[in-house]
Amino acid sequence: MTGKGRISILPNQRLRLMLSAQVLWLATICLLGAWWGRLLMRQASRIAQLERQTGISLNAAHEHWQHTQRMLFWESATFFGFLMAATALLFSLYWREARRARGVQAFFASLTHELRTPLTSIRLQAESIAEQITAGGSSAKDDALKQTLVGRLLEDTTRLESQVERTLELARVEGGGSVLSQSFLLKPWLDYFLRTWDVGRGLKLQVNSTVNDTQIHADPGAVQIILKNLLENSMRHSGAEKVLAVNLATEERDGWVVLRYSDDGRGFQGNAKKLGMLFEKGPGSQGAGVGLYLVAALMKRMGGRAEFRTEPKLETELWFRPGSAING
Amino acid sequence: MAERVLVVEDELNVGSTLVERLDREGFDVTWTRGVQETRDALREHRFDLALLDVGLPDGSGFSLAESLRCDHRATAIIFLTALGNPEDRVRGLELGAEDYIVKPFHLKELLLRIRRSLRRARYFSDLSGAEAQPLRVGQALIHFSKFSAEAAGITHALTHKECELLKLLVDRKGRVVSRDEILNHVWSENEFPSPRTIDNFIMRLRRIIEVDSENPTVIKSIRGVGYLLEEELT
Repeated sequence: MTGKGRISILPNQRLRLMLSAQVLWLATICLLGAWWGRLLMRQASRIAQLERQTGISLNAAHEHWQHTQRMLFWESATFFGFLMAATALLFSLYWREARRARGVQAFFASLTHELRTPLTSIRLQAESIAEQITAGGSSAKDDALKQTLVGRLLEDTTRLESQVERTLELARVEGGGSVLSQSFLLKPWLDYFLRTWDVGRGLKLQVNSTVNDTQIHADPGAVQIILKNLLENSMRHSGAEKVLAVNLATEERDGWVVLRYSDDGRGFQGNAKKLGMLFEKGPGSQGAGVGLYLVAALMKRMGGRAEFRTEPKLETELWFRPGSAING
Repeated sequence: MAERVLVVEDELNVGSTLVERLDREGFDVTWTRGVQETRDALREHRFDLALLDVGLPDGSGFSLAESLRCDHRATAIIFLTALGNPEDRVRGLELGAEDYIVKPFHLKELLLRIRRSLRRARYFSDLSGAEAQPLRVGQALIHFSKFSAEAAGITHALTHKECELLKLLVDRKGRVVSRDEILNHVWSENEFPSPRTIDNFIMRLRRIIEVDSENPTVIKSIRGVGYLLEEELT
């Protein structure tokens, strides 16, 4: 006997099985309904016949029979109407649930992938450093290699941390977690955040900012998560390795403070309407379909909104409520 | 001469470290980060081994493996991917990969598996004398050293595993080879093929070798035990 394990492949037949069961159920109900309707009509006809035989006037029997027929017709029609509506509702609920289940499955597959990659890298760097230490080399070349490996180790730890943070934030948002509501000056807050964002990420952030010294009413923590997600999205899709260039600008529009964010990446080729929907990813995207959903969900929680434009390039507009000068 | 290794990995840090490490091991390494870039590299060079990531920005490593199997039969393939579910493993192995390694992995283990795959791939390429001669099995003429088979005027590409399986059956001609023996000889310690995988390999071989693959007379199934190659070989 061999010591090897065997994997049995179980094809995912649940969906087809559920669909077949639903179709079968619908067919059975329809057949039962038809049989029941036919039986009742025959019963009514029989009663009318008996009424005629027992001497009740034909007019009265006929009228009674017609009344019973009408009643049965409307009862059957109402019953079938409700039945079909309930079936349609069940179908729609089931499809929605199945779609969501597929989304959750894809999310976990993607999350596993996203977690395994930095883990792989961390292990590779750590093992390489361990080999270097064991080899005992201390030349300038060895030191430079160790420095490079440690740098990569830090980058991957930051990536892993971001993944974990994003997953926890998704769980918090989906669980109905609250956001703070306070007024603060956007520009100094943004300047500080952007100065520290690229630490340990292995590239330089270059911001072309025309942000005004304006007050917004929001949760600084949530805004930080939103911007982190937008920046990480840019990092992932722009292919930037040394410098990540982004553009930030504010303007006042219809009583709102609009913060516009864009990068110099390749843009978005998928269905723009689906941007910001949970588990929806663009074609070829290696994300999990969570980042932009969090952006949209957190903006909504703060009483604002996020809008995504794809023409002429991918741009995100964050609509904030203006803050009050007293709290600033 | 250093063996040429192609690393297909879109992840910057993983790719860089792999390339540095393989370079230190004395391999001649080429690193590509996408499907198109890899196809360009394959047009220019031949490689002894390809380490393929599956999830690439512009396509799948599986499609690259298909191309490699058609145009670069001697190149051994190892998948190096975060996709670890059984369906993906089976697909990777059925595409003719020598090995399927799920991330994260240990560097030393990877190096061992690379060396083993190269050794196995070299076995057929380095065949000489009588063993290097084409061998008739059923209706097909098998060229083990070229990883190909000619049948009914068509040349079929054989994967390394198909060659190993066929060689095992040829070496044990007239005797029943159990599934466990096949698993032990053709698949490595860390690979876990399903029984379906072996059946699929046999089925593909039968399509080439047998005149009527639905009623096989050359590779016979021995119910509950394994397979038997019955044909007289020339």
